[in-house]
Amino acid sequence: MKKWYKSLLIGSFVFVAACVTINVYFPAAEVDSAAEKIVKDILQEEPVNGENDQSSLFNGNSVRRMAHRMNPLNWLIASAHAQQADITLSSPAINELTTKLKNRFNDALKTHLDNNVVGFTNDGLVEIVDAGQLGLKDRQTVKKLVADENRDRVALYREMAIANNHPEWEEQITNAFVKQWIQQAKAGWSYQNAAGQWVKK
Amino acid sequence: MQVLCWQWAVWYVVIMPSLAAATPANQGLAWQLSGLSVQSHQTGVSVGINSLSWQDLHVINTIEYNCPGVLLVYPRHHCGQVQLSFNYGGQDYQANLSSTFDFARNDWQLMLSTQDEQLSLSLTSDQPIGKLQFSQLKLDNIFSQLLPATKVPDLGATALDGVILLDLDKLQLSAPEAIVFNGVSYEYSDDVIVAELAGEMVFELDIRQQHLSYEIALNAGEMLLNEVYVDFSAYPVTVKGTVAWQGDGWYLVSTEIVNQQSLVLNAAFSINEAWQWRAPHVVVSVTDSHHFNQQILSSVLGIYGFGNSGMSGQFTLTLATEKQSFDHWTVEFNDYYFLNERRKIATEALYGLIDWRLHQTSKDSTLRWQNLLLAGLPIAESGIKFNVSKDQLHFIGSQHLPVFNGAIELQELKLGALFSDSIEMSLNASILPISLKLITEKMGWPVMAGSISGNIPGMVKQGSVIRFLGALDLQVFEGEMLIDNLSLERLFGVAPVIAADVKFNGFDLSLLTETFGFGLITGKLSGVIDDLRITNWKTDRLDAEVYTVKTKGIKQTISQRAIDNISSLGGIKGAISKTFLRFFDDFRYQKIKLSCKLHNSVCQIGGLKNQSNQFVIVEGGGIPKINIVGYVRSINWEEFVSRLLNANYDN
Repeated sequence: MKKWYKSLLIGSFVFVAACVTINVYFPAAEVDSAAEKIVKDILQEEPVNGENDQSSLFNGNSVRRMAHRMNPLNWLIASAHAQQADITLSSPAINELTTKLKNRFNDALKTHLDNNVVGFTNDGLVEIVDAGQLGLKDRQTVKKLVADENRDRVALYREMAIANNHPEWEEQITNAFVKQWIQQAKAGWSYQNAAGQWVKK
Repeated sequence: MQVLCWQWAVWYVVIMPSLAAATPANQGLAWQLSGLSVQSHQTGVSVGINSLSWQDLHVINTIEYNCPGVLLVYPRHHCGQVQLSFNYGGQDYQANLSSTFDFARNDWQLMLSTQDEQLSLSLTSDQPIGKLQFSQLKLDNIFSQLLPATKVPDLGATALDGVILLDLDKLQLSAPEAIVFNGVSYEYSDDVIVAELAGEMVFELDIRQQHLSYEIALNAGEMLLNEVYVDFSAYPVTVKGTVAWQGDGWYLVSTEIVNQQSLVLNAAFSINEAWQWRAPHVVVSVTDSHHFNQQILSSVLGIYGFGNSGMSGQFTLTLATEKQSFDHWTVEFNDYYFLNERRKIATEALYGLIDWRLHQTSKDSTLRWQNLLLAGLPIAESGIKFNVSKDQLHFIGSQHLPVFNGAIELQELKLGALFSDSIEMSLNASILPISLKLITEKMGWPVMAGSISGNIPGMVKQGSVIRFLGALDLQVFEGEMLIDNLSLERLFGVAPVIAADVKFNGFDLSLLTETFGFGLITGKLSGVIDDLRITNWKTDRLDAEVYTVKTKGIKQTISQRAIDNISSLGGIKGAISKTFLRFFDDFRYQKIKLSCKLHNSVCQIGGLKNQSNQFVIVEGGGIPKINIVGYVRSINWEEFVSRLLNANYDN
C-alpha cells in the first residue's frame, strides 16, 4: 500500500513537473511604450522624465507578473515560454521609416497639422481634413504627402510586428500607435475619434 | 397730359408684325402684347405695356418706356436716353435704351444696354439678327439678375468680352469671333475644381436643332480633377466639340482636348437634362510622354509612390463602354521608355497592346521590349503574350525571358482575383543557369563564380507579400545553395523586403575566400541562414551558421591573413601577424564554425564550444596548432559586414 502511495506521489510530481506552461500574451503596455517613444521621436517632443514614474510600478503587467511569481503552483510548473515583453524599437527598416516620418513631419506635415489641413485618423494614418485654404497645386502636393505618409506608417506598423517576431501583432501595434498619435497631438490639431468624427484637440 | 390713344393701333400694326416676322412661321403669332398706353407730355414720352409675352413662355410685365424731353412720337421717333424698366420672372429690371422708330417706313432700331453698360443688345428691323455685345461682363451678375430663381453654379468672377449674334429667323446663337473670358472658377468639391480659367471661345447654337458646336482655347488658370492637376498657363489646351440632340431626352456630347505638344483626348458620351450620363468612350493619345509626364503625369504618379519617374515615347489609352461605363480598356505602347531608379523599374522601346474587358473575354495582349528592368532584374530583348479578362490573367504558352546569359522560363502563370487583396497565383517557372559573375557585376558586389538555376513551382500573394512555393537552386562556388521560403514584400513600394531561408553545401572555401579577398582558406563550407530578411537591399535579420565539413581528399588549411581576419571578427586583433607564427604561411585546422544571430542591428556571434563570453571559431590541427577563440559575443552588424567584405582593412 505504501509503495502504491509512494508511486502515486512520485507520479504526481513527475506529472506536474512535466507540465509546461506557455505564456503568450500581447505586451500592450510595452508596445504602448514603444509606440510612445517612436511617436515622440517623430513629433520631436522634448524628452519626458518618465524613468521614475511610480505609476508604472503598479500597471497591469507588473501586478500580473508579481502575482505569477507568488503563485505556489508556478514554483512547480515549469515556465517554458514566459515571454519577456522586450519590444524591439530598432531595425534597419524601422530606423529608415521613422527617419522618413520624422523628416516629413518637419518638412511639411507639421504645418498642415497646425493648419488643420491634415489630421490623424482613427486607424493610425493621416487624412486630408480641409484643403479649402490651399491652392490647387498645393492640394495635389498634400495628397502626395498624405499618401507617402500612410505608406510609411503602414510599413512601420508591420515592421514593428516583424521585428518583434510576431507578424500577427500588426493590428494591435497599429492600435497602440493610433492611441499615441492622438495622445501626443498638439492642441488644436485635428484627429478622428472612435466614431469617425473629426475633432480638434 | 395728353393721351394719344390712336397710336396704340400704329404700334400694334408696325412693331408687332416686325417682331412676329422674326419668329418661326409655324409658331403663329409668337409675340403677344396687352395693355399698351402711350403718353406724350412736355417732360417726355412714356410708353407702358402691361404684358408682353413670347409663345406664352416668357412673359415680361409692367414695361415702362420713359424718354426725357419733348420728342416727336409719330411718324418718326428717336430717343437715345430711354429709361426702360420691366418685370421678368418676378424680378424688376432697369436698362438703358436707344430707340429709333420710323413708322412710315416700317423701320426701327433698338439698342438695349444694362445701366453699367456691360451688356448691350442691338436689334434692327432690316435683319432678324440681334447683336449681343458685352464688355467685362460679370457672369454671376447676369445669372443672378436674369435667372434669380434658378440655381446656377457659382462661376466666381467670370468676366466676358465679345459679341454674340442672335438670329431670330433661324433661332441660332453664335459667336463667330472669339469671346474672351477670364476668372472662370468653379468648385464642385475639394477635389474637383477649376480656378481662374482664361482663354477664348467661339460657338454656334442651333436652338431648333438643339445642336451646339464650340471651340475653347484655355491658356491660363488651373484645374484639379481628383489626383490630376493642370496648370493651363504651362499646359494650354484647346477643347472643341459638339452637343447634339439624340432624342428621348438625351444629348450626345463629343469633345476633343488637344495640347499641341503631347495630348489628343477624344471623348464621347450621352447626357440628359438631369446630368445623368451613359456610354462614355474616351481615347487618350499621349504623343510625347516626356512632355506629358513633366506637365501632368509625374505628380499623379508621385501620389502612388512612383514620383521622379522619367518617360518618353507614345502611348494610347482607350476607355470604352460595353455593358457598363469603362468596362473595356486598352493601352497601346509605341516606342515607350520608362525609368524609375528608386523602384528599379525601367523599360526601353516598349511596344504592344494590352486589352482588358470586365464582362467578357478580351483579345490576347502582347508586349515586346528592347530592355526591361523589374526590381533590378534585367530582362533582355523579348516579349510576352497573355490574356487579361475580367479579374483573371494568364500567359499564353511558354514565355522565355532572357536574363544575362541564362533565362527565366515561364511555363505557366495564372493570376486570379486581380482586384482583391489576395491575388490567386499559379506559377510554373524555371531559371535556366545564369552566371553569378554577371549578376554580381551588375549589382556591384564582389564578383562570384558559379551560376544560379532552379524551379519555382508556384507563388501566392497575400496583401503586399508574394511568397514563392518551391526552392531556388544555385550552383555556386562549386557547391549548392538552396533558397527556400522566398518571399517579396512591397517589392515596388516603400522599404521593399526579400525574405528567405538559405541552405548551402560544399562551397569551395578557396574560391569563396579568393572572391572576397579574405585570405586563403581551403576546405568545404556548409551552412544555413534561417529567417533571412533583407529590407531596402540591406540585411535586416538572419540566424546564420556556417561551418567547414571535413571531406576526403580536400586539405583544410588556413592562411595567416585569414586567421588575422577571422580573429578580428571575434574581437581579436593581429592574432598571428604580431607573433613569431607570422613566419608560417598557412596552418591546418580541424574545423571552422561561425554563427550570427542578427537582430536589432546587433549580431550575436558564436562558433564552436560556445560559452557565456567566449567561443571557438577555428579549431586547429597539426603543429603548430592554432585555435581562434573569440571573446566578443555581440558585434555591430554593419561593422561585421564591413570586416567580412573588406579584406584589406588594416589591423
